[in-house]
Amino acid sequence: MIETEGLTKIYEKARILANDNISLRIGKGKVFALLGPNGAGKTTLIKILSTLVLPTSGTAKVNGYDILKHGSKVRRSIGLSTGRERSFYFRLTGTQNLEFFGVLRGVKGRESKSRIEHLMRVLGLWEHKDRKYMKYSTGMKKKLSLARAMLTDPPIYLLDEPTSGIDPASARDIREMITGLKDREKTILVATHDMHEAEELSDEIGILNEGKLIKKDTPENLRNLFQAAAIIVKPARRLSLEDVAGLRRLPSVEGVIAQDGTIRVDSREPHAILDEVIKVVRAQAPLTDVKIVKPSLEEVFIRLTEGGKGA
Amino acid sequence: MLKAWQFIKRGFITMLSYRTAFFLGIAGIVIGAVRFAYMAGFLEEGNTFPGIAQYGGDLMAFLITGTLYMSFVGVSLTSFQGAIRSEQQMGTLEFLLLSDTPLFLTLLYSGLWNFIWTLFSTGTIFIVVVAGFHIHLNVNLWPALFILTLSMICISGVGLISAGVIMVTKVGDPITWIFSALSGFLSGVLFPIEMLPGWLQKVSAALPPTYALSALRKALIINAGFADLQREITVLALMSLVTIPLGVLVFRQGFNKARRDGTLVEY
Repeated sequence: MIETEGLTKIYEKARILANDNISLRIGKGKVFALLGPNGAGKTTLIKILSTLVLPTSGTAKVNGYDILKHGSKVRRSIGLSTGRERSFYFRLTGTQNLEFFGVLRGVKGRESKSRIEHLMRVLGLWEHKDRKYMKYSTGMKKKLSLARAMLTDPPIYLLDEPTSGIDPASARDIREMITGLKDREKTILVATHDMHEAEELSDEIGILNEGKLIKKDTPENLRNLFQAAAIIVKPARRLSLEDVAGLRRLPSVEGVIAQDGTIRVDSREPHAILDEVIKVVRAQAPLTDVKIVKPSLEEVFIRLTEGGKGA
Repeated sequence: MLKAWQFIKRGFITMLSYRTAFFLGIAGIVIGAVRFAYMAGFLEEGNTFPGIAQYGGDLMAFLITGTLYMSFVGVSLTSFQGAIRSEQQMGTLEFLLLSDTPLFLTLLYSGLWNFIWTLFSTGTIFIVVVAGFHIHLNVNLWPALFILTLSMICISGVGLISAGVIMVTKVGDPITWIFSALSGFLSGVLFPIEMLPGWLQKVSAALPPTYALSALRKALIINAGFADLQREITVLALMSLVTIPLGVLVFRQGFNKARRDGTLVEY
């Protein structure tokens, strides 16, 4: 389990508020996705939970251990995978790297050998085990980073952008591995840019912007946050915005777009204005299709991070 | 020609912009020149110089022990900060910190390979030179190894201080430079400290390599035993009691500051 209470980090020198009063709780066997634009504070939060960066204020417990009072117990409880490629010894092979870090974390002898073989096989790295790290592809490097995090089979995983910049097949392998960890009751915090990944993997999503956790909820609830995003109307003939100028005057309408022969009406309350929209458009041309679309997680993210903080 | 001039000008302006490094560089030139002047004076007198009588009176034995010992001073001074810098460049420092192994031990282990290599390379040079030039030695191995180890422990404390400083400053620290320059000049590496004026001999007396070199030479050249080296051993042990705790303290401060600033991996 991971718990934070009012966690705040200010980088004094750079005068950056990296994490602003973050409180969250991630239960056993749950995946929490931390979504946020670059510089939102995702990596800082992960580093604080790993005890690599000291918070300015607030508290955090990882696997029941306070990050400030029981640093070494926290470190023993976590598996960390960072988004950086430069975190291994370039001239050692994949196996040699894992052996090295394994011994430092207390995995040695036969246990080390069998664990490394198992992880490398599962992640599709076994046939490249004797290849030097510097010859690994980006996808292989990310997989090796995950393998290192899993070496001690810890109860908590902190994964910083585990699939960024890699091919879809490798990303899928990693996502499957994360799902497998979840099935084994591991607690996982994933920082990611990828909305689909967050939606696919997580039980809960936290949206971090300018250091603030502006929203946290299940993927489903987040999508429902803006009841619906738009009404899409398809008239029998192409209409211009001038033809449907009356739509803009309807209550709760946030925008009207004419695109590819359809009219899109963005609204916070689409059900309330649906009849009026149909009436305005039908006055110009018969309709072939009408639908209300829910916002994608991406749209929710953009809305939350661009304007509607705390919406 | 104009292009070459632009490169020279760029180099000069860049060097000037690192003011501390620039002034330390100038100071290094001055110290180097003075050191060689003293060495020239020593070589002129050679085996007859009274200061080396206590080490068997052999100029070559004096010089080879002094020069090779400085390799160990270098390893002790730079192994910690070298290990940190190397791990930062590799991007592996954070993962070493996450291991069960205390950071101090991790850094110590990181320097082990350098130590083994230095022991092998200097040992080889020592044997080749001693055999090749028929230098007469009467080695007492265990006291020699003990002194070498004790002095490395003592100087590692200074190395820890410099590692703590570099954790914060990120650029070269003046501590290593000052200690190396003073030790190379004033510890009797290339000429006996008796050649120095009185006030510089007082500075020399505050440097651990002065005692280490004196004891090491006695053990390697005139077969001195532990009983003969009591004074040097006591001073080195007392100095270690100061340098090691101070080094740990400064390093811990630097490390925690880097954690507060979030700059552990920056270099």
